[in-house]
Amino acid sequence: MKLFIEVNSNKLAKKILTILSLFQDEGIKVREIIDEVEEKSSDLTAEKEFRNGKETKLEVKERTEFLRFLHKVYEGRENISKLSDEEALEDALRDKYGL
Amino acid sequence: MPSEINMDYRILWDNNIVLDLFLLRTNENLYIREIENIFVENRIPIFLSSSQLHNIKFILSKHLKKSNIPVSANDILDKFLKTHIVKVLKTPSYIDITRWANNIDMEDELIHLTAKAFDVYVLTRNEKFLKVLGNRGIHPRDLKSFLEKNRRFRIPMLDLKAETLYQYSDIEKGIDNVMKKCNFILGDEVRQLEERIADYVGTKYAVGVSSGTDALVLSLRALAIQRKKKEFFDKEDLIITTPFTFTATGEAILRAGATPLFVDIDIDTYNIDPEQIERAVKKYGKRVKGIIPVHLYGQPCNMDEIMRIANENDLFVVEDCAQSFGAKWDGKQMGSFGNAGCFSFFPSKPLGGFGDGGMVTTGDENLYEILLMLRKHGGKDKYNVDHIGYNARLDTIQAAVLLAKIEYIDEFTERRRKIAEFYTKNLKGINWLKIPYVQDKAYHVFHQYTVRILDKDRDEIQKKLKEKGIASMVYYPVPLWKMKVFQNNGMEMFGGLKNSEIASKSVLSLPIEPLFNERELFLILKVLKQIG
Repeated sequence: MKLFIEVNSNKLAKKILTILSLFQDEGIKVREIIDEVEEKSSDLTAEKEFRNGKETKLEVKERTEFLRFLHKVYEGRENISKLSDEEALEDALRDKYGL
Repeated sequence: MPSEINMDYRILWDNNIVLDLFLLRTNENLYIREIENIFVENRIPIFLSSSQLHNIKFILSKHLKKSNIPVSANDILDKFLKTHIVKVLKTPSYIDITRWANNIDMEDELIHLTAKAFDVYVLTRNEKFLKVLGNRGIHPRDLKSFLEKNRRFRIPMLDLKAETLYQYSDIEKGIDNVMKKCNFILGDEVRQLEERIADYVGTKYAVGVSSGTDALVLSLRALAIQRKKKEFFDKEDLIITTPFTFTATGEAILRAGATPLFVDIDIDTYNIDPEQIERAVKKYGKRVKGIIPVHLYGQPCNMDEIMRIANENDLFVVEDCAQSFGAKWDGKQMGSFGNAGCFSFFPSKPLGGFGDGGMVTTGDENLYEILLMLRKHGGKDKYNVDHIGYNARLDTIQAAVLLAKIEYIDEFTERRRKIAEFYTKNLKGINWLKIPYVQDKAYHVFHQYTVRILDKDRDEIQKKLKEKGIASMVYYPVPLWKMKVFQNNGMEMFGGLKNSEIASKSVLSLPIEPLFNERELFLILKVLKQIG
């Protein structure tokens, strides 16, 4: 038997799933539902639209406030630096000690 | 709903994970968005070792500069701190310094040392470091399964480890100060804590002592000196108290030379019944010298009635506030009603130290001066003493810990009260247990959330809870009048003390950790509903 509950927010869905997950040992397969919910509300929501036969990106929405902030300051770019952390540290230390 | 921070998981982020997030390095760490989301959504704190902070900032600055990104490392760090729960842990000094001269990665070494010191896991994608970390390491790809596997299904009464980690930086600062000054006996921190608690409770004075029990003994001894002009009470002197309390309450009466007069409790509040007190005073007359009401489980006794009876009969009142720090009766703090208020700082108490400790609050200057002498061998000058005293001072290091922890007391009390509200709301439908009754004028701090098991075997219920991983405790299984110490050393019983016996056979305290989250409370609830 499957039970469908429609809710209007991910937060509420997660709350309900948290409670349901306590009953997993009684045969309720909540894990699968959680995976599905997480899949659907994936990290990045890219809404696309075709205009004049051309794909146009309308909105990219990151899930957390911090990611939205990074998205804004990096103008949507990822993998910001080509340097390795060791190279960056070496450079920084060189600057600091005037080497 | 309860905790806004999830202390079930204690995970430190290695530098590479922090930088993966800051630089959105999805090529190197496919999971970085998901990781951040898990921590934010589940309110899991990100632990960092203090040794990591400068390198992360250095590296981040250089990456940004080299990539011509018009944002500073400060801006990114500022936003990160505002949108995440970040807890910094001290990097221990007890590193094996000879390893400094070895060919090892010192950065990893210090992170590992911190992780071991605080018993936290390390999230890293550095394979070499993962090998060193062994079971303490988590690769980003394994984070989800780690969290699933490590979900807490055993619920303790309290989680002092989580509380300590939550308040760590403040406590550490206090302890470091004492270690720096080495003022271990009656240092500045003891005086500061006394002032802070007197101010909080609303009394003129407070005296730090070595335990809650000593707070009671010293108060009674001071009252004997003040009111009887004798070192101790006489055996025929009676002090009224409840038989449904921790042994220390009755023990203190015996140690002060008097005899406890046990008066029954109100079965709804588990506190001493003022009507019974009044009848006992009428029966025993002038032999009764004072009353020790115990604000059990954090619920105040009816102080209107107790103070009226005391005033009408010239009795002293020593409040046993061991479980009631922060509780109020009609808006007034417990410990400010009687001649003295006695607090315990036992680690599990609402304001708990890192060992034993206690405090007496009083508004009576003369009593205060006697208390100061009694805690220090009995004299103002310890080389020329006036009374039979004790070595019963509060350690400076305990005072430092308590000064840090008192800053959290209102937040933690509020958390306890919310958990109690949750229990009360959700347990109402279970007809075999009785939820706590709170009096109108009482601000109950719920040191314990104690129910009474009706029509069922309490011990059987406790056993079933234990089998399902839920801790519970019985406070207290034996009323004092049934103990040999009182039967052999003197006690009086007023009436049958029937309620104390009923309570001792039926009460059960449920877990009430201020840092519990919603899932844990639902789990307790589910098990309670199942076993009934």
